[in-house]
This record gives sequence, C-alpha cells and structure tokens, in this order.
Amino acid sequence: MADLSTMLANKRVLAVDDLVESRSAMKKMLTILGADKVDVAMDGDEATEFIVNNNYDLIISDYNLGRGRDGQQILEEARFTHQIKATCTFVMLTGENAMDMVMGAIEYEPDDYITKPFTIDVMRQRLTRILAIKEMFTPINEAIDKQASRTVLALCDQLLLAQPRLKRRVERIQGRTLLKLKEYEKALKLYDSILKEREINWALLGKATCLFKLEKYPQAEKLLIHTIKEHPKYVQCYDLLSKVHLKNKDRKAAQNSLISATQVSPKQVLRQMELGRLAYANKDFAVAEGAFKMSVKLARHSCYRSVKNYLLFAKSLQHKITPQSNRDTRAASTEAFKAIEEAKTLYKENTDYVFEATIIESTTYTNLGKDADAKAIAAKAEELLSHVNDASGAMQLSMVNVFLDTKQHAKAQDLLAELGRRKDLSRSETRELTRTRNEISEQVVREYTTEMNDKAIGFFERGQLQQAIDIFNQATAYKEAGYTVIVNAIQAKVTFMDQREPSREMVKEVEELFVRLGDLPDTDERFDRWQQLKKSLARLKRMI
Amino acid sequence: MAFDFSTLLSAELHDIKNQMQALLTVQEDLADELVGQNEYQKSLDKIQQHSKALNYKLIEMLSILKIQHQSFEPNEDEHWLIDTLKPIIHEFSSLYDMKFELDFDPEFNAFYDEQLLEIALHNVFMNANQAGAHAYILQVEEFDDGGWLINIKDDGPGFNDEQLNKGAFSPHGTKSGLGLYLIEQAIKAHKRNDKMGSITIQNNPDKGACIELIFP
Repeated sequence: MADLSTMLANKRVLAVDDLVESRSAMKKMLTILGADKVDVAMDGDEATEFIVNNNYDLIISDYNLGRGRDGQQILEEARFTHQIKATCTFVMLTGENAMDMVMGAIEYEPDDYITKPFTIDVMRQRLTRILAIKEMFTPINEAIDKQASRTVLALCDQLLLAQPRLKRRVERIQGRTLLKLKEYEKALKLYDSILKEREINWALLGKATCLFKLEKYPQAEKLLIHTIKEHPKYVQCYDLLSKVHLKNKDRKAAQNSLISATQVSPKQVLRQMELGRLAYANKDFAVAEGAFKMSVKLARHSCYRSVKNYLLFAKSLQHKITPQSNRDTRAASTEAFKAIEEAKTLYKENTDYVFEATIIESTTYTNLGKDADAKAIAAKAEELLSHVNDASGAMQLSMVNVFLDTKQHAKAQDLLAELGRRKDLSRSETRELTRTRNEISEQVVREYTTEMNDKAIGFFERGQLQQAIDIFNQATAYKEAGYTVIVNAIQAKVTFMDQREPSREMVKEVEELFVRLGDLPDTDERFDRWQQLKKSLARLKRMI
Repeated sequence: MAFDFSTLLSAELHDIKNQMQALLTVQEDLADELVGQNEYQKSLDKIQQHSKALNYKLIEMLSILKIQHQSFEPNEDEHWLIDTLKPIIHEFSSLYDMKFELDFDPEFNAFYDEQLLEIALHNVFMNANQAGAHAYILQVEEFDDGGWLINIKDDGPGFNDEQLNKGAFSPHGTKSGLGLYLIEQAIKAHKRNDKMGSITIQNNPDKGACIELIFP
C-alpha cells in the first residue's frame, strides 16, 4: 500500500472540531502524518465557509460539533450543493461506534468513520487505507462528477477485475448508477445477488428502491419494514416507506413514517419540510407547526434556507390564533409575525415573496380579530399584486381569499371573474377557485349588498345619482341581492332618467331588474311602490 | 419520571472519552519535546504505555456497556483485518515484548464489528500473555459460503482441562478472569442470514494454545 505521507503531501485538508484542543491536536497529527496544507474550522458555519472558498481533497470532521450543525449536516450540504466533488474524501470522527450514527442518504455518507478516542497509530492505519481506496476509485469518482453514468459502469467492471477485494464497494456504486439510469430490473438483480450472501443495509434499501420504482408497492413496503427493524437508524428507509404509503393513498401513514425519521434524525431540513407539508395537508397543524419551526431554525444559515420555510411556518401557526387574547394566541401570533418579517427582509427583492408574506400577515390579523389592520395590510398586498407582472393564478386566489376575509366582496368578485377567464389554472387551482366561489355564502353577500344599499341611498339623497347608480350596479350584480336593493336600484335609475333623459340601455336594465323581482300580489305592503315604479318605467319607455 | 441514569452515564462517558483523547495528544506532544532527553524517556514510555492500556480499557468498558444493552446490534461493516490488528499488535509488542507472525493476505477484508473484534483480540493476547506466552501466529481461513475464521496459536502452556471441558464460557470466568466469556460474546454477536459467530479452543499438538474466532 502507498505511503501515507506521500498520499497526504500536496493535499488540501480541512479538520473540523468544536473543541480547541481537539482541533489543534488533529492539525498536529495530520502534520506529523505528512499533510502540509491543513485548515481548521470550529463549527458548521466556519467549515462551510472554508469549503465554499477552497477545494479540499480531504475533510476530517467530528460528528458532534456542539450546538450548531453536526458533521453529517456539513457533509450533506457540501455534497448537495456540489461544493465538494466525489473525489474529495470525507472522514467522520465519532465518539460512538458508527452503528449509533444516523445513516443518511447514500450519496451523503462519509467515505469512512474513525472512532474516538484514537491514537496516532490508528489514525495512520485508517487514513492510509481510506486514501488508498479512494485513489483506486479516482477514475470512477471523476466520471461521477461528470455525470457520465455509462463510463462509471464500465470503470466499475474494470476495477472489479483488478481489485476483487473491493467487490462490495464497487457493487454499491454500480447499484446507485443503475438506479440513476433507471435500469431498475438490472439493479434489482444486482441487489438480490448481494443480499443472498449478506443482508447489507444499503443493498436492502437499494432493493426496496427498485421495487418502489417498479411499482411493486406491497413488496417494497414489506422489505422496508424488515430493514427498519434490523437497522432502526437507517432514516432513508422511513423516507421511502413514506413514499410507498403516499402511493397507497395513505397520507396519515406517510406522515407517521416521516415522524419516525425525524425522531431518528431531527436535523435534516428537507425531511422536516416534507413532514410539515404532509401534516399541513392532513390538517395535523400541531405536527406541521413543529416541523416547519424546526426547518426554519435548521435552514436559517444553510443552503436549504427558503422563503417557503418561513411562510409555511407562519401559516401552520394560524390554527392557534384566535380573537381571544390568551397565551397561545399571543405566542403564536408573535412567532408568525416574526417569521413573516424575516421572510420579507430576507427576500425583499422578490415582490412575489413579499406579496405572499403580506397575504399571510393580513390573514394573521383577521384571525386575531383585528379587522382594520387586516384590511390595511390587504391593501398593501393589493398594491404589491398590481406591480407583479403576470401574477399567477395562485397569487390571485390568495388575494381573493384575503379580500373575502377583509369583507371586500366586490374586489373579490372582480378578481374571481378574472380568475374564471384564465386558461392556465392547474387542477388544484381550479378546485380552489370552485371552493372559494362556494364559500362566499349567500348570507355574507346579502349583508354586503345591504351595506352597499345604504351607501347608495346616501348618494341618492344627496342627489349624486350617478354615484348611487354605480354602487347599485355593483350590488345588484350579485344574484343574492335582496328585494329592497333591487327596488332601490330601480328607483335610482328611474329618477335619473326622469331628471336627465331616458335611454334605451337603462330602460332595458330596469326591465331586467323587474324580471328579478317578479310579480307582487296587491296584498303585499310593497305593492304600491312597485306599481308606481312600473308606471314610471312605462312612461319613460314611451318617451324614447 | 425515573431518573435517567443511562443518559447521565453516556454524557459522562462522552466527556471521559474527550479527556482521554486530549491526554493522548498531550503525551504525543511531550514525547516530541523530550526527544533526545534520555533521562525522561523511560518514564515517558511507561506513561504512554499505561495510558494506551487505559484507553483500551475505556473502549472495552464502553463496548461491554453496549453489548449488555438490550437493543444491541453489532455494526458489521467491511474492514481490512490488518488495519484492525496493527495498532493492537503494536501495543502488545511494545508493552509486553510479544512476537507476532501474520500468516495471511495483507489485503484480506471482511465484514465484522471492529470494536468487538478488538475486544476479542485484546483478551486473547492478554490471557495468553498472563499465561506466559511470548509468540503468536495468526492465520485466516475463508470459506466458500462467505464465512471466515482467525486462528491464533501461541507458545504458552495451553488451556487447562477445566477450560477445555467447559464447552460454554461463564461470565463468572475462570482463574484467568472474564477473558473467554467476553471473547465468546464478542464473536457470537456476529450474525449472517441464519448463522452466528462462535469460538473454539484447543491445545496445539506440540505446545501452546490455539483459539479460533469463527465468523459466519
């Protein structure tokens, strides 16, 4: 085997540990072993900064880094964002046996683990092996970095012939590559042959993935349950199991699988978000709130930070917010406003995001029973929406809902009409549109038209007939408009034509309103007025 | 709620491990600084030997705690046997002046729980050393079905009749202490499909003991 100091020379090395003594000890050890370019980082943030700005060949990180992110998270983020290449070696130092470590996604596993405490002898021996193997895999890893899957497979065959002792490691890459190429039958065959000899965890998951992709859900489920029993810390199995449950349309079971996964590995942002979304859809707001809260916290300084985290968190808090001033409401609304503010500040360049945040802000005020604040914020949202080029159907829908919440029914109706004309709504948006339309209850509209009626009467009495007619037009546009509103509208139009001059168009409008009123029996107390108006209309018609 | 001793214990142990790691490092530093100053060398060597032994004892204790835990599952991963052996051999040859002959392919690798094998090997060597052995021959045999074994022969007095006739090993041990029981537990924890690890002991025809650690 090659000499360690030769392998380490000219390699760019990063050592990560939260304890100052351990850091300097590791640097010293690495220097004694032959490394000459060693950087040290004390936590996840510093490590990430180093990784972004340098091209490391070897990263050695303690798993446990105190309060912040752990070694596994550093690895996952670095690989996820392709800040480290497949050719970079990542070694995890663990206080525990590797068995107690959470096993993350295959592509995010370290090249190896070294258990603490270790002597320099152990470090030398292990590093020599790890680097020697990594070197043999260099052509394969380079092909992986270039995403040349066929080349990867060809090189795997070559390496297997030259180094039969590396069989399992090569097979692992073969399996992963076949999955990437969607050659599930072939991958399944490979995993089966491995499992016949030994039930290796990654081969079990690999086989389950093949079964899932081949839509053999019951078999995939059975295998995953078995694997989880044998390897309870293999979180990826819970993720896949959750997907199987979703395929079986069992959303509650899917949610439970993800809950199990987050109990094993609470620090994974993407999984927490997925759980939040699923729980929100299942109307399990307590779980959704917890998951989104965690993802906001975890993602704050990471590559996974997204506006969705903040907004979904604020949304998931709404179930606790009521007009009653109690502790729950106060705490939840404070948290919601904080998340909204943070989102607005972080994403202030993006009008779409600020709009979305403003919408949730208005809803929060509505839920708090602060109608005036809700309406003021709704006006801001409306203003923002007017500046958005090509507002999406989803954005318009949320605006409609806020209009309704803030009792601006006419605006809601207008926007609903606009939405109805859109041809680009997705299926779920169309469903939402129908639901919103149905939600506008008759009672609410009637109350609203009555409100408009009063306003219109005000104009009418001051002699501002045109304004009165405009409002009556809005009010009578609702099919739910009541009898009084219609009669008043007729009165306004008839008076208008009496004072100015009758027009064919307005006469027609009045006739239509009469049709909506229908006939009144002479016993009805409104009969006299109705008949009076009918006569006036007939007179006006003759004048045209 | 009952007081959670195991959490407290594992937090304490975690701390001890960090202290141990720091101690080992300071010693390495001291050794560097004292290069050439022969009057301190002997004491320093002793300190280093003892702390290495202490370090091992700590790992062993952690492993025992782990094995006795109900939900214990060994972590059988692929390792290169020579990598596991070398630090142990280095320790025993420097501490007790033992001689090792490795009679197997240095590229041999297999699936096993490294910590458990370390415990087993430590106990094998420690027992033999206490019995008076000085030299060891280690051989590896691989089976067609994927199983394998390590055969360790020493030049000591061999096992006595009580040990040889016992069949199974008791946690109460024999005069030689916990040794054989721990070795057996560590190897028995290895499982593959329906098979399980085991150990055999016998005496060599000419001289010394022979112990086989058989992995499924």
